[in-house]
Amino acid sequence: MGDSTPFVELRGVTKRFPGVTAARDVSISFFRGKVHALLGENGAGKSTLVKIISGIYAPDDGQIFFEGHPVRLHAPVDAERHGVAVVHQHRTLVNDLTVAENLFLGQLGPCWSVFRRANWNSRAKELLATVELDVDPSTPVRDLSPAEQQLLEIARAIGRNARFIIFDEPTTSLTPPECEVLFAQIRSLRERGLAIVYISHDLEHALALSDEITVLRDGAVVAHEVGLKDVETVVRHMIGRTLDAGYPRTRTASNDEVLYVSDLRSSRLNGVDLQVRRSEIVCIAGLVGSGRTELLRAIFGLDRFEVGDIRLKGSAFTPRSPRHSIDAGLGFVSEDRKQQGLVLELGVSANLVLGNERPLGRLGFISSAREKSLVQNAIQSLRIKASSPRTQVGTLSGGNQQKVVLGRWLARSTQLLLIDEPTVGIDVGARAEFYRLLDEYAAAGGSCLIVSSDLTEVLGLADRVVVMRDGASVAEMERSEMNRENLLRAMTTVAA
Amino acid sequence: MSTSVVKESKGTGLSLRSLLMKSDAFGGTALAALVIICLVLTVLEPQFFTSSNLLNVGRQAAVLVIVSCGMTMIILSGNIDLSVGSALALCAVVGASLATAGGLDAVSTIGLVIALGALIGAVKGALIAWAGINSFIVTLGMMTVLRGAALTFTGGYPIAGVPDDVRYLGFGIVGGFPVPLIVASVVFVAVALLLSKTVLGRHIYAVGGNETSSHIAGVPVAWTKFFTFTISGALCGLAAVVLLGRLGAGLPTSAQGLELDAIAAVILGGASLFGGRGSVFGTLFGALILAVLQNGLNLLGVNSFIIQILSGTIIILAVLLDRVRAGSSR
Repeated sequence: MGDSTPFVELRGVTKRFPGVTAARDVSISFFRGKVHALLGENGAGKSTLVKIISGIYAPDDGQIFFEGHPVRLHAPVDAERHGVAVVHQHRTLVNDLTVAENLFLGQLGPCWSVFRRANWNSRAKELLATVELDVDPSTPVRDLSPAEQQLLEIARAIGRNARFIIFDEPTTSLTPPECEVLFAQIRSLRERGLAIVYISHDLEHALALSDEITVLRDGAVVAHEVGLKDVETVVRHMIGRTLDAGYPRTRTASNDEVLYVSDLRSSRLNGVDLQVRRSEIVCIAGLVGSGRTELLRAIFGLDRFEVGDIRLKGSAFTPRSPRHSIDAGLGFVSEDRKQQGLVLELGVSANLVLGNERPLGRLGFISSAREKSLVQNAIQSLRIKASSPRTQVGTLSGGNQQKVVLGRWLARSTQLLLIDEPTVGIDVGARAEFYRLLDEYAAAGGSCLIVSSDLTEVLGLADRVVVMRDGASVAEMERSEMNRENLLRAMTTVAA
Repeated sequence: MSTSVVKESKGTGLSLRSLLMKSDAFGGTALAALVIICLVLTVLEPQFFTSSNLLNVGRQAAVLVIVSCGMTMIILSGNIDLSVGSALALCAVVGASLATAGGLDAVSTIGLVIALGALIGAVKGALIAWAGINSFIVTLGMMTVLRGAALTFTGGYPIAGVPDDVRYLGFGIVGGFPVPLIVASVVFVAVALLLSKTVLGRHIYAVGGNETSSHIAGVPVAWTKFFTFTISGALCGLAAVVLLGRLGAGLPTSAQGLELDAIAAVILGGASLFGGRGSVFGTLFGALILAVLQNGLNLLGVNSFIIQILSGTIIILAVLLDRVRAGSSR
């Protein structure tokens, strides 16, 4: 079994859903000892292919071959038996169980057998060593960092004799150094002769890591290249056109101070100082856990802080609740738009006016004419793609969902937007549009305080960067001083 | 040839499902079930589909419809209320006492009973909204507290002799229509308007759909819960007045198990037990299904113990159907 027989091969695979063909005559080969990156915008068909290979969907047409033999997968267990494992962007671990229990969940034997903790723990240690994860097997999973959980998932896959591992957006919640650890593990899996599929929106990393790439668009393969390292070419394949300048800059920051934060302290914050001026976009860079999200939540009144001063437009401000902060002109876009932004069951319209219904009516009744006109305006100016204003927001793509959250704040007279990870899980085309909207907002006199783990995004968006480490602001850089090395150094080193 | 046939039948199956899904927003499934049950009963028992019997069903269903409308708001907001039956009993005995021993006139009695209902609802709402206790626990406790209060208040005996003018809402007839039916209709329309047209209604759906998102968007989450329980409580008070009128006496043991019927009506109407999805139209059909079944099976001479078995089975079947529908939309 040399390199000539692919470990998994798709031949002419097609999958249709009502109204959309999610995979169109797809033929791809995945080889042992290779990392194969699967790239494409949201909705290009990557997840559909993953679900077909892992036995969740059955293809309407075409065949799947494992090691040269045609195979029919009826359920995920069939795929697992052939050595397929998926490491998801949404982790599938049970938070309250221990590391060891998670590793062997489903393999613990019949339900009447006795659970010998010591036994399993020692087996767990061996497995953890293969991914160089140094944690006690009896730790509950909820105490692990996202990066450690990711490694645990890999260990679990190895423990189940996986020979084909699919990584679906594995770096979404990892910091740059944690990504490096993950990449080292993926490379060592490749050395051991596993076939790896790597799916990510982070094109630079995907290209650096992969041996070959396949680009999907609208469910079909549009390009397959070996050894390509050029992001521009991939982006062109992905969207079928060249991207305009990614980060428009029509705004000019004024000197009027909008937000002033001084020595903010809480259980998670350790002294933060920063200012945001009118028409300015300030980014906060820092590792996950450095207190970035906590800072935004404290300013918005979601968490309490113990010490410190906040001033809005020069006057003292003590946030009491989101409602109170909103009335003072603040808006908050969470990193988790599904859990902390939208009400997925409700329509686009109801989500756009959520919390802002009162001005739309009288005596507690909502005027549907006024709601309609406000919503039409928002849908047009933000170019939200939805079949109707009543469409359930949960059915929209990530980019359009994010526009709905943004639109809600733009429809109010929000003066300062606090945004946590603005483009997480959003495809390239929609990102560019989102950046344009933020620039327009700032040019019209708004200000943004943005947390981002994506350094490219920070460098492109920010007029100024504040770096956080261990809950404190540790550095501040003007646009002229910003570059990848400076940022990374400030984020990671202990006091220069 | 055979494959094309299979594909075609698959296609119609899908469209039927999607039809069910679309109509569900207005309780379409429950309406269809109601119509089918009525048809079957009409065929089996000629007495069923007569105006006198149908008005009778309406009269009997009035209390359940009023309470279920309130329960719809509570379930849509992501909560539950297990204490509506006990609250109703307490309101009824207090009302009976005010009208007899207290000697109050009808309007003050009715007003005070509704106010008492609202107060009970407000207490539950405050505990849930600001003390942050789960509504299941708060209302489980209140179920016993309120029932105990009703029994203590009367020493366990019914309070009879309620004057006719107090009984009007449960007993009266206007132009051939039973007044309780009119009261229930007004409540239904009011709650339907509240849920679809008002800010509070929008907030009830939003809080039930996703409390965190709503909080961040500036929705007054705690007040929304508080008002939901207060309004539902006032409806319990109104339902108590109707029940008092029908029975002519305040019974501390009345309306036992009413909370379960009300929850069943809401769920039959297609609402999600987890909040955010459902409508008061569905609830109306759900409540009518329960009332029609009870009445029709009675007419058919079915043993009342068997009726219990059948009602329960229908509830489970309806939820099973709901699951199938949810599965197809995934």
